[in-house]
Amino acid sequence: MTDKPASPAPTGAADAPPSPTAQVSAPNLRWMGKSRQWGTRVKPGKHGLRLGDLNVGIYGEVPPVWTDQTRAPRGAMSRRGVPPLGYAVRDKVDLWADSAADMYEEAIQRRWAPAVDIPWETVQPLPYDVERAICQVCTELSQYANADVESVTYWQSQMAYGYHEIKQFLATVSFDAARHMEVFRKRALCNGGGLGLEGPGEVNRMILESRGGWTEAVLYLLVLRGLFTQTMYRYLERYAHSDAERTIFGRCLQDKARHLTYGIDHLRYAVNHQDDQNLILTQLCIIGERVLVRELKDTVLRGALAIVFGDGVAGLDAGLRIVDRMMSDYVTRYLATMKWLGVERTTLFPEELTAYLKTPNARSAS
Amino acid sequence: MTAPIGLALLERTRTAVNADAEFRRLGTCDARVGIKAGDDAFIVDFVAFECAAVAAIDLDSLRDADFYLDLTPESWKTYLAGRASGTAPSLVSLDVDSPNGIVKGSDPLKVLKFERYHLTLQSFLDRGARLAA
Repeated sequence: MTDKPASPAPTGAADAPPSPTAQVSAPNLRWMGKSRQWGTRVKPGKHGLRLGDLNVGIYGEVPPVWTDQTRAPRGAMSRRGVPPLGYAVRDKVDLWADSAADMYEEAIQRRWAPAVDIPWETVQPLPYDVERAICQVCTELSQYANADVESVTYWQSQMAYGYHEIKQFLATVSFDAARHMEVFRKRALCNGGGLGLEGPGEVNRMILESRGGWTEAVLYLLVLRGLFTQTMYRYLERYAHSDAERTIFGRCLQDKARHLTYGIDHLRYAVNHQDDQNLILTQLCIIGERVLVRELKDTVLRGALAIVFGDGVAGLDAGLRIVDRMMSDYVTRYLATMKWLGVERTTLFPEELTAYLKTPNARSAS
Repeated sequence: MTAPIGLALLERTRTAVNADAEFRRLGTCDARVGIKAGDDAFIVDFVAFECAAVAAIDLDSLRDADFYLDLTPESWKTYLAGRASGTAPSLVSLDVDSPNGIVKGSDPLKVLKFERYHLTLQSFLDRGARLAA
């Protein structure tokens, strides 16, 4: 810490006679000497001046526990007597991912705007059943995105300010999710259709009511559900009925891959820095997978996807085979990801999910 | 007649995209992308807003890539010709359609870079496809 002024303070300001009209104190420039580290000169590189580049000297010290309960920025001098704010998530192990600062920048660099970046003019009238189905899919995806916003913003407000990279990255996640809500709603309302039936929302409820900590929410929101959504985006991009839809799902895919990267990176950090975290995650997986299986028993989304993929009700059977392949892709990637994290999903893994790996349409079966 | 994928084509593509403001506008991309074409392999290194380097590598060195795209030389040729004429699918669609996928890698975080940057990668290959046509 240094209490030395960075430059000679102007003399006389503090001693100036009070203004006859103002009722405020005359400026006191003693704060100019208050800095824990002065003289920092971070230079931009090829990427520009990134958030992560600022982690130099004391500004790059990210402690394992953030004890300060105020909004003092990391590296700033604390002001005495500031009432505590009661942040609940104060341990680095409960939120950290090394990639967060870079992905905050990436989210901004690769931003897009549904109003102007989607070629809406390419959306053409579709047969009634196909339009109905794509609108139903958009309705449910819109709900997923809403759960993203609500869950992320809830937890974000619980996180200590010292881990600002995480809070900033999560701000982009909630903005991405808001953009997804927007673009799915726009697709549903731009071609003579409209919103369809509300989804069952069991996984959404599990995510929103998850109170065991942010790590638990990350598992459910960004990995269990996130990988499912990501797999759907891949298939919806493949079976798009217009350049507009292809662009929508291709753009959403990039955003979702960032969210997944943070999610997996955080779970890896948690597993590597906390005893038995892999066992805890295993138990949480057992709970979460069962809720997912229950939600998948609702046939509305499955039917709507089959109609989109099969290009109409007449192609329902072919479409269902594609849905099964999509599900096998999802389960395969989910299991591989959890295994890579040190969470072997062999105990009580639902038969209903295993079954997708055994269908003739599964990628692994081909 | 479409030229085969190879170091010469990748070098020309690199030069072309680095001079293209539209490519830069896609945003930053930081990925070491492998391209496997039968017994030939290449690395395409994206750093910040540009394609920083391309190189021919041996097949074993594909493990140093974040992920790699795996097609036969003939399939690459067909794909590039199709992209140049506007008939071939996107890389994402090709990956979905291929029985074993075309995106390969062992680290799920690194493989996710394909989906994080697929539009940049598509733009790069589409430019290559036009140059090869």
